[in-house]
Amino acid sequence: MNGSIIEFGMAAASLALILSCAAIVLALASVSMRHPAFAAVAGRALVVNFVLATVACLSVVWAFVYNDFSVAYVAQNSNTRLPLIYRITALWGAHEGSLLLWFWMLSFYSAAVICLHWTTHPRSMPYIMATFAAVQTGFLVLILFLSSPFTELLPAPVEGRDLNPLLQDPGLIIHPPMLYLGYVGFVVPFAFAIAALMRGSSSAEWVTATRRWTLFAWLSLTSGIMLGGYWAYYELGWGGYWAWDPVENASLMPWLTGTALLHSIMAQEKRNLFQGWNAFLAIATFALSLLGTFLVRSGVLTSVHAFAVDPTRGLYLLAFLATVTIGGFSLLVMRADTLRSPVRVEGTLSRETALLFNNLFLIVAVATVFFGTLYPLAAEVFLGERVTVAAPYFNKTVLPIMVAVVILMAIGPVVPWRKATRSHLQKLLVIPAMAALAATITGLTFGIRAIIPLLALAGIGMVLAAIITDTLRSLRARSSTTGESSHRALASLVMWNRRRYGGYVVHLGVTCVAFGILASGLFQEAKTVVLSPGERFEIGDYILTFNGMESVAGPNWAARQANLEVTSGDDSLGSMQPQRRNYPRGEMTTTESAIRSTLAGDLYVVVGEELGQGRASIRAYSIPLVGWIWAGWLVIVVGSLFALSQPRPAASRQSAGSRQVDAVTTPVGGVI
Amino acid sequence: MTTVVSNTRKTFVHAWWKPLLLIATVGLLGLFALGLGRDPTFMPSALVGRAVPDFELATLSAAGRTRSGDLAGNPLIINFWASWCGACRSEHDTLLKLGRELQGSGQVRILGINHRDTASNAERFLSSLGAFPYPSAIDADGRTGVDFGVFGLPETFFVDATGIVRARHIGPLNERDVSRYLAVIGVER
Repeated sequence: MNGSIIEFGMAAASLALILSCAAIVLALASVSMRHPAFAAVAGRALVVNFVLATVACLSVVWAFVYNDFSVAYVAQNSNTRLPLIYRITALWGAHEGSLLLWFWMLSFYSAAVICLHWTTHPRSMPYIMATFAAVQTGFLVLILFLSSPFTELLPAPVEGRDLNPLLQDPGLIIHPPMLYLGYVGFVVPFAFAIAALMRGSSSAEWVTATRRWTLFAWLSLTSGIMLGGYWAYYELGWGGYWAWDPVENASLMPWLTGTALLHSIMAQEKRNLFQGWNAFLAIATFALSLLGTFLVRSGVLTSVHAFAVDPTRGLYLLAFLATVTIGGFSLLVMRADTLRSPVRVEGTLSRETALLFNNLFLIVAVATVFFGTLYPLAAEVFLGERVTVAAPYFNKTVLPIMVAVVILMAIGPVVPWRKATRSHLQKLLVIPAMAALAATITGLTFGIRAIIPLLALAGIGMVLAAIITDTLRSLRARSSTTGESSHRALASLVMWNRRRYGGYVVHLGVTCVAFGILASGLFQEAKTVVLSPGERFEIGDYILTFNGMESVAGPNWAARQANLEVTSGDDSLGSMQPQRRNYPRGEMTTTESAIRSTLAGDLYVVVGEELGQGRASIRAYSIPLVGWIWAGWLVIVVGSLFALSQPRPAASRQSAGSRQVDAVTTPVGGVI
Repeated sequence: MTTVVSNTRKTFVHAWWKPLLLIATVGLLGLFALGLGRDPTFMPSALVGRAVPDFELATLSAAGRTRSGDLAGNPLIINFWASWCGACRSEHDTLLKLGRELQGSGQVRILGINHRDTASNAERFLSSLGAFPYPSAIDADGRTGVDFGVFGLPETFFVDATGIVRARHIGPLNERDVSRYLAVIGVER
C-alpha cells in the first residue's frame, strides 16, 4: 500500500517531465506556426504540472509520516521517534527532497504567472511558458534520474537513521523554503526578460509586469537569509549569525543583484532607461540563484552547508547552469541593439544617477563576494594551493560598499527625476546632513573611532532624517491643497502611495538591520570560564551563578543541561539552561544555547565540556542590540507587504516608453 | 507623463561588453568544470614527506601502551576515529575489510587512534558496528591529534616503511582511495 503511493508520486513526476517537454515544443510552435491553440495547451500542461508536483511532494511526505523506510530517502532522513512535524519537514531536510520542493515552487510560480498574465501579456506568453517549461525540464531530469527521492530501499530497514539533528529545529522548518521561494521566484523576471529579448521588444512592459514578482522573490530571499542567520545564531552556539561561508555568499549574491534589479527597473518604468542592463540583471540574478544550487550540491566548494558529493550530479548541474547563462547572455548580446535607450541620463544629480550609483555599488559588492567565494577554487585549480578566504576579507571589502549603499539610501529616494537644481538639493539634504553630523558625534561619544562604523552611523542618521523630512514635506503639501487634517492627510498620502511608503518602511528596516550589525559587532563581549557549582561570574551588566548540571531527555535525544541564575544589579532575571544534546541515532551532539533577548541586547550562554567534580566550562556572550537585526527584518517584511498591497493600476495611461505595448499599465512613482 | 525622446542617441550599449560578457561566462563555467574534477578530500599537509610524529598512548580494550617506535619498519596506516563521528560510521566497513585483508599478511600494520572520546563510548561503538581487526590507541585529550594536524574526523595517514608520512586523507575512506594510497606507501594487494 505504502509502496504504491511513492510509485504514484514518481509517476506524477515522470508525467510532469513529459508535459514540460511538450510545453516547450507547443509554446514555441504556437509562435512559429501562428497557432494560438498550441499556446493554450502548453499553458494547461504547465498548470497541470503544478498539480503533479504537489502529488509528487505529498507522496514523499506521506512516506515520511507513515515511516515507510522502503523509501531510501525516508530511511536516511527520518526514524519512528522523530516528532511528526520534523517528519513532514524532512521533505526538504536533504538534497533529493529539497530539489523536489524547488520544483514544486517552480511549478507554482509557472502556473501563477500563466493564470495572472495570460490575458495581459498574450504576445510574450509563449516565450515565458517555453522558459518556464525548459527550467522545469532541467529540474525534473535531475530529480528523476540523478537525485530521486522516490528510490526504493529493499529490504526495507525496520528503523531509519535520523534527520540531521541540526535540522531538527523550528528555524529549519521555514528557512530553506523561504530561501528557495526567493531563488525560484527570480525565474519570473528571468522568463519575462527572455521573452522580451526573444520578441525584440524594448518596451518597459516586462519590468512593470515583473516588479511585484521581483519584490516578492526579494522579500522571500531576504527572509530566507535572515531566518538562516537567526537560526545559525541560536543553534550553532558561537554567538554569530553570518560567517561568510561559501553557501551563505551564494545566497547573498542573487540578493544583491535582485536588490539592484528592484531599483533599476524603476528607471525603465519611469524613463525607459537601463533596458539592456535590466535584462542583464534579471538573467544574472536567476543564474546566481542556480549557481547557489550548483555550489551546494556539486561539491565544487567546501562548505558546512554542502550536501553529499556526486560527480555526475555536479556535471549535470554545471551543464544546466551553462545552458541558462550562455543561453541567456547570448540572447542579450544578440538583441542588445534593439534595447538602445532613446533617452539618456541627464543632470549630475537626479534619481537616475542615484539609481545608477546604487546599481554600481551593488554590482561591485557582488563582484567582491563572487571573487572571494571563488578565489579558493581558482587557486586550487591553477596554483594547486588550498586557501580559504575568511571573514576579514569580506568585512574589509564588502562592508564599506554596503555603507555607501546606506548613505545613498538617504539621497536616492528624495532627489527628483531628470534634474535637480543646486538650491533644491541644498533644501532637500540640509536636514539629513545635520542628522548625519549628530549621529557621528553620538558615535564619537560612545568611543567609536574607526571611520567605517562612523560613516555607517552617519548614513543611518541621514536615512532616517531624509525619510522623515520627505514625508513631512509631502504631508504639508497635501494638507495645504486638500485642507485635510494632518493625520487624515498622512493616512491618505500613505494609502495612495503604498509603493513609495512601503519602500520607505523597507529602508527603515534596512537601517535597523545595519544598526544591529554595527552595534553588535562593535560592542560584543565574550568570556569562557570553568565553574564549580555555586560559583559566579560577570559579563556585561549581568552576573551569572552556576547551579550545577543535570540530565534531561527529549523524544529522540538526551541532554546535559547547565542551570544558571541571572541577576543584573539587584534584579533577578530568572534562570538560563544551555544544553548539550546527544542524538543517539545519528551519534551527533548539538549545543543548545540559552539566549535572553531584549532590544537592548542579548545574553547568550553555551555550555561546553564537563570537567569532573561538577565543574563545567561555560561560554557567555553579551551582544548588545543584536535584536535590532531581527526586528529590522520584521520591518522589512511589513514594508514589502505594504508595497505589494498597492492595487494594480487600471489600464489607462501609456507608460513612458512602451512603444509596443502588450499590457498597458501605469507605473506609479515609488522608491522601489 | 510625457514621452521623452532625446535627439542625442547616446547608446547605453557599447560593443566591447559583448565579447567580455561571453568570455567571462565561459571562463567561469570552465573553472567550475576544472573544479569538479579535483578531489575535495585531498588535503595537502605539512606532515607529508616528514617523519611520523612520536606518540605513546594507552591501548583501547587492552593492557599496555602503544608507541610509535614499536610500529616502525613496516608501512603503516593510521586512522583517527571516534564514536561521536557520524562520517566514521560510513567508512567502518571499508576499514574492517582492509584490516582483515592486510593485518594478517604482515605487509602493513594498521593502527586506529580513538580521538577525543571516552573508552566506554568507543567500545560500545565497536561492539555495535564490529571491532577492528587491529588495535586502537586512546587519544582522549586530542594531543596526538594536534601533532598530526587533525582537524576533522575521520582522517587517515599513510606512512611508508621508512616512517615517512606519504599521504593524508580527510573524510571517509572508500575502496578506490585505499588502493591509490596503498600504492603510494609501497604495498601491493
